[in-house]
Amino acid sequence: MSIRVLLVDDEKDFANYTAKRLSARGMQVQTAYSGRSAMRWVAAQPVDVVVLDLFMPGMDGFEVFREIKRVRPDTQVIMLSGHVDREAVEEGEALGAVDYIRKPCEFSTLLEAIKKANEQRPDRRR
Amino acid sequence: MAAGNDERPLITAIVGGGQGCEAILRMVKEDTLGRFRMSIVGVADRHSNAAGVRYAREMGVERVTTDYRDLYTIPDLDLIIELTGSATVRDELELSRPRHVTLIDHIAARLFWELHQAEEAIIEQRSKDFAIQREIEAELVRTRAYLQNILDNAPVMIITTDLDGQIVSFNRHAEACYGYVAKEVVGKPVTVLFGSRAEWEPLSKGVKQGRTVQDYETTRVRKDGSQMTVSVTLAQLKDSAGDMIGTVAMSRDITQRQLLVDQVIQNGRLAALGRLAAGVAHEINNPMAVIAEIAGYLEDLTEHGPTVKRRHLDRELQEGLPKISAQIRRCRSITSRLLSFARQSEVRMEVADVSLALDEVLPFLANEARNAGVQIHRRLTPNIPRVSIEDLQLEEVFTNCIKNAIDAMSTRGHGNIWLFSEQKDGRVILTIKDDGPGVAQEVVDRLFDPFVTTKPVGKGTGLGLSICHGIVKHHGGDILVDSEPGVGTVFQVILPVHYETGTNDDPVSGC
Repeated sequence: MSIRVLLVDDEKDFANYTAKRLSARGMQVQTAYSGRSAMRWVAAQPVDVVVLDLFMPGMDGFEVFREIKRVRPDTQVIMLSGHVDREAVEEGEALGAVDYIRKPCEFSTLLEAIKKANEQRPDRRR
Repeated sequence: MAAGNDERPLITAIVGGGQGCEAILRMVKEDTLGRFRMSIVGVADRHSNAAGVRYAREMGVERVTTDYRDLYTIPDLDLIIELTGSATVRDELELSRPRHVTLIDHIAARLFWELHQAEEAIIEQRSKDFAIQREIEAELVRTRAYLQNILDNAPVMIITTDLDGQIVSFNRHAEACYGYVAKEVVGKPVTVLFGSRAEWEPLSKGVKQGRTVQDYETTRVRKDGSQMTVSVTLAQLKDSAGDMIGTVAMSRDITQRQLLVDQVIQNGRLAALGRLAAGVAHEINNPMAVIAEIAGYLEDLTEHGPTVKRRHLDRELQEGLPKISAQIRRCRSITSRLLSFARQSEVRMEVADVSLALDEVLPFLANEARNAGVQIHRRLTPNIPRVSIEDLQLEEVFTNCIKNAIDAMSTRGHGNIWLFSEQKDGRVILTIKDDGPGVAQEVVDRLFDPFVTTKPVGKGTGLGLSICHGIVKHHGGDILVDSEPGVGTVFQVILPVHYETGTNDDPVSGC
């Protein structure tokens, strides 16, 4: 079964093109350009892996993170960010993020990270 | 009559050996200074037990007799002093004395006696006066030594001049700082120490008008030609009538301190550069990520060659490639901002335009503002004159103040910052007003102390505002803060207007 992915990033082109590439490899990808719309989506539909840009205007990325975990505890969250912030990484890990990826990244890295995150899901959908 | 030779003492005899005689005998005996050129060689009195007679015998006077006629045979007798008080005796002596012997009677003797007493009194008074004078002189010497001690040991340069500006005194610390020995500069015009002779006029005029010049920073030239930065406090020297007799300058060599301040500013710049670099890296990563995905996607399509329809590929290329170009332009503007900050290694003119400085600074802060939900409103007055400060330093000040405002509102997630400018009394005032949470008065009072920060640990070193305050004050300006908790905060950066000298070396017009 294809992995259900939610890409959350305010850079629309980044989100859209990444989504296209992931879809071409058999994933079911949705995009959200803000924390708010991400939370709406997660509340409405089950998602296997969320790739979440931490530094978006408006909502604090961690708030979105916590909300996702609250509504869908089995959903895996991968942190995405344009810059390395040690504190952010630690905070994310404390919240239960399974990975941290720095933009820009090799597409294959993202692909593998999503697959691995899905493997590690408690309810193990394949 | 034998004339009294000046060298030879008067050979004298006394008739009347009472207390008066004793007094004279004692006086002559005690005359250690040899003031009395008198030698008493005979004493005559009817009563051989009279006080003077006894004393004469003790003293070993040659002829002590009861009959005054015995005195007449004393060889070379010059003088007989009659002290009996009896007119009869006096008359007898007058009639019977040898012609070569002078007679002084008791009245004349008394006169001489009183003259002598008067003289003694004068001498005593003189010697007392002398003692007082010596005491005064000693006191003077002690006072001078004490004042000299102060001058010698004071850890500040103390240089005094007369009304014409000639150096009168030059203390040890001044010698140490300048490299001159006092002797080399005393008497010379004080301008030999100045970097620019032109400075003396306005300085001395100010002091003459009774103004104290305080902590005035300027440059001076050492003996070896090197320059030092000093902080001078200059005042009038007055005499006891209150009239000006010269000037006294107390100065400290602040070259080291200036270097430290420059270093702190430089470190502040480095810190700012560090923050900038981090910001830039972040900013560039985003467009790079987009380029990577678009290019990767187009690559994916071309890899699936035969299965992809030509029209589909064309359309994707048409959409994707311009987007890549747009992202690359975005990168360029980011790197050019970084390069412009690197210009700090160049020597900059101390003139800046407030509006242009904000143009440089605001784009850097745009992302942070956006993330914090803060809107920045520019309400600058047009045609504000330029100010006397380096453009990069002004940008540093603005960056710190505006960032401070943004940070204060970032937890709330929304807010506004208004930027106003105005010109008043030869100064330009840039106002940064926010409707953030504000801070309490105790915090405002310490806002420019280094290491005071209201931010949580790790989110700000607290050096920024104190450096800004230092920079602005160094250029003759000030930063004022007013805040009301719950209402907002107002920062006012005040700087002196730069008055153009009317030459063609205007750096901006060259652009």
